[in-house]
Amino acid sequence: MTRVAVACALAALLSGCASGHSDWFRIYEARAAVDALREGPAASSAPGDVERVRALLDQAESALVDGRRDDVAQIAELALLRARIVSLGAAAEAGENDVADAEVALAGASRDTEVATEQLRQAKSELERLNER
Amino acid sequence: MSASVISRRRRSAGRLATRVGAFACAVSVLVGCGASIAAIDLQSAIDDANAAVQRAAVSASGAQEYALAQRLLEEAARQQDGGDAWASYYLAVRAAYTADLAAVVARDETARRELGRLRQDALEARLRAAQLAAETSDTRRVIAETIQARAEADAVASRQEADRANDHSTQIDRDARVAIEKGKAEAELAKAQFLMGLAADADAATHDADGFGRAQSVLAEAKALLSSGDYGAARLRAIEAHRAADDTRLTARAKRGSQETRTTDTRLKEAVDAAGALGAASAAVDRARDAEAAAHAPVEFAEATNALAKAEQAHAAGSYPEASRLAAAAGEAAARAIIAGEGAQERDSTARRREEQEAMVKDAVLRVRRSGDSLDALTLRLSPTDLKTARTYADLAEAALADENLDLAVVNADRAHGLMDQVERRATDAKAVEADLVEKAKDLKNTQAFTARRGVVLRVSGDMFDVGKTELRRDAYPAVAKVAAALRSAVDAYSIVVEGHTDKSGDADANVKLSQQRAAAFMKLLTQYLGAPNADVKSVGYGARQLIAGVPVADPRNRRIEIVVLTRKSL
Repeated sequence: MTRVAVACALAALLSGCASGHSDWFRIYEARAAVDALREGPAASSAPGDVERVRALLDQAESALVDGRRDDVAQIAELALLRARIVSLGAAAEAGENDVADAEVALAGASRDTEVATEQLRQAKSELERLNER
Repeated sequence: MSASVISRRRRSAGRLATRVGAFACAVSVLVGCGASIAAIDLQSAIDDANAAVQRAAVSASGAQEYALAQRLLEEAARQQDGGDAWASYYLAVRAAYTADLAAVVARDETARRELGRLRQDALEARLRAAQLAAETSDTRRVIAETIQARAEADAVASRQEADRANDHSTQIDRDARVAIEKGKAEAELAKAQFLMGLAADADAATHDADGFGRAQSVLAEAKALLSSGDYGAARLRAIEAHRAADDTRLTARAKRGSQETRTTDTRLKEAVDAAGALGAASAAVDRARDAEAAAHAPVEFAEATNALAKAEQAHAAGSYPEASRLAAAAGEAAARAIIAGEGAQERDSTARRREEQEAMVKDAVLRVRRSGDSLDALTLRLSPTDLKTARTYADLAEAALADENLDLAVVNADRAHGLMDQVERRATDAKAVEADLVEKAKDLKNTQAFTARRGVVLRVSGDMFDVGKTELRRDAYPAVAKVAAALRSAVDAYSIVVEGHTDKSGDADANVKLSQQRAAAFMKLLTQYLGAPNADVKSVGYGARQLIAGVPVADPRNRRIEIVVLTRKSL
């Protein structure tokens, strides 16, 4: 129902209002950002944040339906900003997971180096003993 | 980001928050409950913005977003002056969001930077490990070549030893033949002496002085030759002597007596010959018996004993020529039996030795091959090098056995056995130490003992250091003293490494440095308590790089000291 109302409002805006075109574009951008979030890693890593961005978008759309044009641009802007934060947060979290994996890999490589060092020491020691005989 | 910048940003954020806070109060008074933006919402938005800006101020990146957040807060303040509550609210919310953005940008960049560093470190570590492995491989190749060269040299020495043993065996054969020759010479000499006695009784010295003197002279030569070891010549001389003695005795008798006497003398001579032949044959059969000819040359030995028995029967029956012939045959058969018996003994001994050596080689190969299944994990971990070397020896032994180079196979198998003995001995010693440490660790608070790849580990957890400090707390001293008491029995024979570890909170480099300093402090006190100035104790700090498996990264159990008791190769 809300979507139908928004569509009507958008149609009205597109039919003649110059400032309305800008509002519509903001909402369109925010909607695209929310869709991108829903399909991206944030959907699984931060579903609550995604839902809050969607709620902001709903508020913007409600403002559009209610004719509160001043609020439309600002709320849509906030939704866009929030969407960017959530998206970047998900990327940062993925990066931190990579860091944790890399630390494990480094620990493994360090241990391999220690083992290799010990094996070399033992081999050299063995060779020395052989040469002493 | 430097500390001064962070501090400046914090002060700036504080000032802005104060201004916006004042604005919020003003809005709440002017607008009241009927305004579109409730005072409580505006205040909440401003508080959120203030907190978000302060959080962002401690981050190293996101500078652009941070600056924008500050400008938005300033704009919010200006809107306060204009009395536009909604605009102020909007700007405050936007400032908070922008500050959040700054924080998340910084977080992302930090993660990327850290990831790059870690990957570089891991790459370098792997490269280093590969270089070390290559160097180890080269060293192992040199070891294998050295072992091969030594084994070949030892095999040559063994072959020379075998040749010497063979020469010795040949010498034994020669000795046996010489002994038989000696026996024959002695038998002939005995006969000659006996006949010389008869000649003397016949007064040959008076009636045939020349013949008697010649016989004495030949007998003396025979004795001299026997003493010098020339048994063949001695035997011939002795035969010549007893003939000369017989001749002189007969000459003396002829001058004195009758035909009857001559006949009696002929019988007597035959009896003496038979006695001598029987003595020699009996000695030869005894010698064949000693050489176990009955087992190794039963045909020849039976022939000899039968001939000897018949010779004795003939001698007893008065058939002296027959007795002599049979005795001579018995002596020859006994000689063949001796040679065959000693040869068979030598062959049996060689075959037995070969079988034993082959069994030993196969046992060594089997022992090494099964080591992976039969030895426990601790043993395998403690002696990887010796096990590898033992496998090399086992491979060489097996290859040499396949090439029928038993000497080389034995040398390598012997070394494989030696190394396996060493491996098992080392593991036994290590297990004893481990058991001792584990037992002692039961009485230590916050201490856990277990066996790791390199040796026995005592893991000491608990708050031994104050936060951020590198000096041990005084109340941790008793714990260190107890650990030292537990380690005292191991300190002479083992290397000890004190490892410092932290959890994951805080800066990674700072954690490494902190763990190094803490491990050094622990080591210093531990060494004092150990009271062993020559103890091989080292310290190392790993920071948060070796977290306990299965424990969360920030878990306090990760803040710990581990004392690793390393097994020495000399054990």
